[in-house]
Amino acid sequence: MHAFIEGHTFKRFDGELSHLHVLVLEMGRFVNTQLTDALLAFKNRNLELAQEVIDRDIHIDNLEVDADAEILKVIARHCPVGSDLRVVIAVSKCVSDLEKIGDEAVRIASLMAQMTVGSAGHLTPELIVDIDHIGNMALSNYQSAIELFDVWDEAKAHRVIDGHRQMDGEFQSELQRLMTYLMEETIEMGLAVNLVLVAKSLDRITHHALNLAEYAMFEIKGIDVRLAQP
Amino acid sequence: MALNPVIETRRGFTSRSELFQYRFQARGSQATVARESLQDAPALNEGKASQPRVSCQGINVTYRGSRVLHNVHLDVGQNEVLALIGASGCGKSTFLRCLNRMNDTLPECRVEGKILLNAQDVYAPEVDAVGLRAQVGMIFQKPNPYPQSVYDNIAYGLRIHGLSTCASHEHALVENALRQAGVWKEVMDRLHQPAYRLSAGQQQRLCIARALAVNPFVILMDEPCSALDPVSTAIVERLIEELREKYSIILAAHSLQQAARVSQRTAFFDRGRLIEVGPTAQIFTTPKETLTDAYISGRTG
Repeated sequence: MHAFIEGHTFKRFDGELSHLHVLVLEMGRFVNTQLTDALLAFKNRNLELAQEVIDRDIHIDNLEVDADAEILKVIARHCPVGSDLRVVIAVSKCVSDLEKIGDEAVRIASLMAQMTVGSAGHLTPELIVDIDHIGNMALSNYQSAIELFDVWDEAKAHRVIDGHRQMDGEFQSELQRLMTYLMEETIEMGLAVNLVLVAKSLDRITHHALNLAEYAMFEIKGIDVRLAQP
Repeated sequence: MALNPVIETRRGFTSRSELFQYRFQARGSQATVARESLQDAPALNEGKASQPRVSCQGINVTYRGSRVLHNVHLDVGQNEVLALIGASGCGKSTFLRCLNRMNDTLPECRVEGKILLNAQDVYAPEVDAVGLRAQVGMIFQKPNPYPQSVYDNIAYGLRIHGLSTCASHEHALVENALRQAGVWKEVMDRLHQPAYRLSAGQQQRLCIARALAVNPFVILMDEPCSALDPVSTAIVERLIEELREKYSIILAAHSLQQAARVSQRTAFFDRGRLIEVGPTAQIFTTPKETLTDAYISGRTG
């Protein structure tokens, strides 16, 4: 992804750095599958798919362990500086955010399982559409963020960074809607709590996506935009 | 802007919560933080040296008709280690040699521009080059003690510059110089043995002591550790860190890690031009110039 002026004189270093990127992208792709499937399972109330998501989480954990080992090795061997150092730091931070996004996907899947088994009758189509709507927002935010590690696009990075504010708004209005349903007594309290947790998970995913975009920004431009938000 | 982690550790937070509180407050008052961090580390936050001790303005050096340094402007602050990095033949050593007029000894070498040492022009006709070289000490790649005893190596400079009043004063000055260079304890019992019998690391520190004995205020080091093993290197680096409190140090280094460890500012030279100068942490994380990044990350072959 990085616009190398030319490769390192010590060729193997190039290989090891691009391997780090491959690991991030591989993990990113896998997390994407998990997230898509968790949302799909929710939408179709598909318990089997939800279980698959839960079972596959171990794979993400393994990828994280592999990536950490690679990162340590690169630091110990090559003492990276300048743009190389930024690559290594960005990759290292990315990996832990990706792992957390994976956890949120698992959480959504298990909450869905609870809701389906517990009070399936009450999960109305409107509720599903609501969650699916913010779910797709979170997913597309995440996808744009991870693509930044494949092809750098500054405009897209800014879109992801701004996207999380929009998501904040959506999350708040979802809470409002659920409150209304509760007051009208159209849904049970237990279901409402679960739905809030799902919405919160989606909100967190957007925050992690924001982090990913910020790391990409740091890696490419060398600027730290974390506290620069108005 | 995120806060500089270096500064945060410097403030000596004892707990995470304290640090958090500081960061939290900092979000609200960016301007104050920026001002405070500048006060904390004047040399770290600017590309320019504060209170320059040495000021070089438009240095051009030609050797046998070819330009080896092109219009270099570079300042060195008080209590600062400035590292010069760049490939062989980029002009680091030539630049160092301008500062104590070592290039005068090369008949075909011409130096243009202005070098101010404590606001005094080094190349002014009334300046005596020998006196200047006492003020600007130099340490070379390989330890080069005189073929004399340890004691005489130090005392020689004191004698030619007339710095000691009597034998006991001379002895005190020699001891002081050796102590400053951190080699006194190792050589106190062997003062009258030939300097060659010392280890390479000790010889290098002896050379540093020799430079310190004649009261310099700037010390030039031309890859002082390239002939030393890692342990001696670490000792010399610790010494450089200590010497910074009293002297300005300019260090030409091939070891980038050494430059990153010991210097406050780093200047990168390429083919006789000063490409970039800035706080060391910035040069090694987010260099502004592509050439600098290529050099430090090993991409130029």
